Amino acid sequence: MNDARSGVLAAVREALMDLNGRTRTPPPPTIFGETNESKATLAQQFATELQAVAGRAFIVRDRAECGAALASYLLARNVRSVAVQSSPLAQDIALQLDGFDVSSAANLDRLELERCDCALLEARSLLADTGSAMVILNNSQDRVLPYLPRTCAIVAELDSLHATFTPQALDCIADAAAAGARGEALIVTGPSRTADIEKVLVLGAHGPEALVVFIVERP
Amino acid sequence: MAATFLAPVRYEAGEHVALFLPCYCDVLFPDVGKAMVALFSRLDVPLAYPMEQTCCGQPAFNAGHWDEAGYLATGFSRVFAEYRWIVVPSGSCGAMARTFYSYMDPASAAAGVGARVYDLAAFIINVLGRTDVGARFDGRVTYHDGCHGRRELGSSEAAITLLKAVRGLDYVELPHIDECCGFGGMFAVKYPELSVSMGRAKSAAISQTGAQVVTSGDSSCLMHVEGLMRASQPATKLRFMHLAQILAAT
Amino acid sequence: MQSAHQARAQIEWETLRSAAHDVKAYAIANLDRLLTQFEAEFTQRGGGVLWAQTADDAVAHCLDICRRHGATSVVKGKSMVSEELGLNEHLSRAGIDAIETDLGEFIVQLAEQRPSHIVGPALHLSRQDIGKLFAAKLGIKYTDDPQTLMSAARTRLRARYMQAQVGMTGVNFAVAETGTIVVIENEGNGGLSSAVPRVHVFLMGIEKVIPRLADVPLFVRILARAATGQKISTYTHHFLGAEAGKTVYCIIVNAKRTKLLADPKTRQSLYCIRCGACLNVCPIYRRAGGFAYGGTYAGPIGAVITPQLTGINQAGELPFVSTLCGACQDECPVKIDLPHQLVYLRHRAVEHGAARASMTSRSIAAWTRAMRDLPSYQRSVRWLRRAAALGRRIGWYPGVLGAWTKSRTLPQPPKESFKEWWERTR
Repeated sequence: MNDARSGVLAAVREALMDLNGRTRTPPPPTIFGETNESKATLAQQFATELQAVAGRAFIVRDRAECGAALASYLLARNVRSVAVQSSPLAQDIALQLDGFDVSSAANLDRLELERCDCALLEARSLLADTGSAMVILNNSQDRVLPYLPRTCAIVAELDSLHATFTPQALDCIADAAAAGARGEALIVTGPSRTADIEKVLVLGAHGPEALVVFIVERP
Repeated sequence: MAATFLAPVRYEAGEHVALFLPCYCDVLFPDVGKAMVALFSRLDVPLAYPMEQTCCGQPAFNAGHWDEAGYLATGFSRVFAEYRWIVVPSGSCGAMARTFYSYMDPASAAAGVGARVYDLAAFIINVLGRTDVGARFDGRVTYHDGCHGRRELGSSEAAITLLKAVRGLDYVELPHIDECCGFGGMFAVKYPELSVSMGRAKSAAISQTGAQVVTSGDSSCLMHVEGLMRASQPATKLRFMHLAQILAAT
Repeated sequence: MQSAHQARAQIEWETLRSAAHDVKAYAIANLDRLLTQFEAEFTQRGGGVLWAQTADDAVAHCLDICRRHGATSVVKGKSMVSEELGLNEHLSRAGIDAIETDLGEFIVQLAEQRPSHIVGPALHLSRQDIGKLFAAKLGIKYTDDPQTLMSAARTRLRARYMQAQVGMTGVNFAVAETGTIVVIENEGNGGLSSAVPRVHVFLMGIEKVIPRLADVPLFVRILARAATGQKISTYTHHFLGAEAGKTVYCIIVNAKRTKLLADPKTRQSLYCIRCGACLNVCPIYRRAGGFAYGGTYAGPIGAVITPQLTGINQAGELPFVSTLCGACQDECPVKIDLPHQLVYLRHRAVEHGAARASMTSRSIAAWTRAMRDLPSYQRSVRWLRRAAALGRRIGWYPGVLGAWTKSRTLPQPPKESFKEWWERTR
């Protein structure tokens, strides 16, 4: 329907005729910036913020400690099966999960993913002031991973912490977009929720009811 | 915008100030006008009253009849053309002149004159540079913030500052001060259920303060709330006074 | 008064609002260029862009896509545009099952009602109402516990996501620079609707475009805060392009938005990011509820855009049902001049000769005549005093004055007006 395309654009141009000729204001500068705070301080802030939205965060020294902490968290939640995102850090941590039924999400179909107890993903960027984790999901299996299992576990490097949702935090989105990466960059903040019934807050709407982030100091 | 050139210009002692008295004040609340005269006399500011003034045109404007509103605005601008300073004891008529004359037609004579109109509280604080007007009023007083004065003219702070400087006055803040009383001009009679419901919420807030006096920069709001409160509590001792009347008191 | 912390937070909020207003102003002023830039970038990343001049065009595109992909069921994330189009009814008539997945939308769909609020579509229903509804329609045991009700919806919808061939969602922001689409939600149904089915359709109004990726953080923060008071929503999606095995479309819909765009006095209404803040604060909306607005959009923004999108004849009265208090503008995260637009639309309604404008016309004309000069004014004052005295004597007032006196006392006009006092004493 090229008709509709030219029709819509023509209607827009005509509607803006009164602005023609006037200098168009350039976009204003962006207003968020990084802070001088140490990554350690940001990690504490991240944990506090995530807890405030019913999520949990753990700061661990290295991959080994991460694996151990994750295993004990999963045991406490009676998790048996784990589906892992196709990302290096997540896959590596997953290797340490002895005694669990671990699969790559890429090898499972939707129904199998739905039956998994826990999703394991890697965040490329963490935002301290909101307790948010940015995961990049490039294939169709990874894309459903953050929602289907009832528990969502995310691992990230300490270095990936930003003070706030700055343009730098957007770099991974910009880089992904520029490199022709497909799928989505998802910023997830706490477990899924709704207040659509009488404004009563309920967790675990369509997505997970539990969300945990492990921040690895020395990956 | 026509208004901005005024900012650095200061009022010079002895300059005449014209009183713009809302039409409904002229007929229903002349004491507000008399209070303005007394107050400005105490402030040593010569107050002129151009007799030819009638109506700023707001009812027509709010009803969407901009031709009629423009006609009355032109009349207004002729009456007040020679005055450098115009003061009005009403946030809503003040906003009509200051904001909406220009909104209808920025190039009009009315827009030019309208930019010289000040709400009472803003005039005293910003133009005269006075906080204490030498008033004395004993009693517990709460202030209702008319929406146009609050949002179009930003004069709430000024009004409350002036009230707090009145000797003997016990100022108590009205809960939900930023909520509309429900008058809205024609709205009050076109949609009376909504209007009365909003007015009742305002009345409840007033009762909560334990105030003996309710004041406002707008007699129109007071007329609506007083009308409601007297109808439901005919024996009420509550007094409804315009800000000018309190500031004029000694 | 305010703590220093609160004050800083307030200043920051004001800065954010102003910045957001300015970015939207730029985006709307450059809309044609940004739309074509968005189209090029989105297409380059494997998406298909379709244009719709009218609501019918948009519906035709949706039906066409469903036909092409053999869709018998469609799962839908939140989309106000699809409400505008009445899309679900069209799909249903074509034998396609359209399932709303947002819990509030799911509830009103089951109840065969329309949504009452942009952000909380089912907030007009009590938990008991919903409990009875689910017992009847989902066959579960009656409960009014929101958690249990949510679980029942979740279970029912899981199967639907898996079965649907097409997912449809709205768009919060479409970034022209990179062709990235941002969708913001708390439940995860937007994520599932877009990720599970093989085909994903975005529905967006032309006004959703923002210029750069760098503008995204600003809008993500203000939308969450204005809509629900959150610092950020649970899921902020940035769709980068169609991944392998996926087909993605974006339908760009005009549907009379260019009418709002063409008039400089209504143009700012297109800055709206559909947060619902103006509804929450409006004393009229809070009393009248969403259904009173008779259209997709309620509250102050509804009163401003519906007359143009639907027609002044149907919706011309909406802007009159307001005291023009301006609380909406105070709350609006993009600082839309809503009260000014409301009074302007009253003027348009009068020009158009529509709605109840004519009932007030005669009184306004009479008023203007009365106010035209001093002698006429003074005659009217004398007449008013006589009428007021008469009204007092017989205890009854006609027409609009009757509407006043039903619940309010009328002030008595004093014997001497200010003008008369001034003349006597000066």
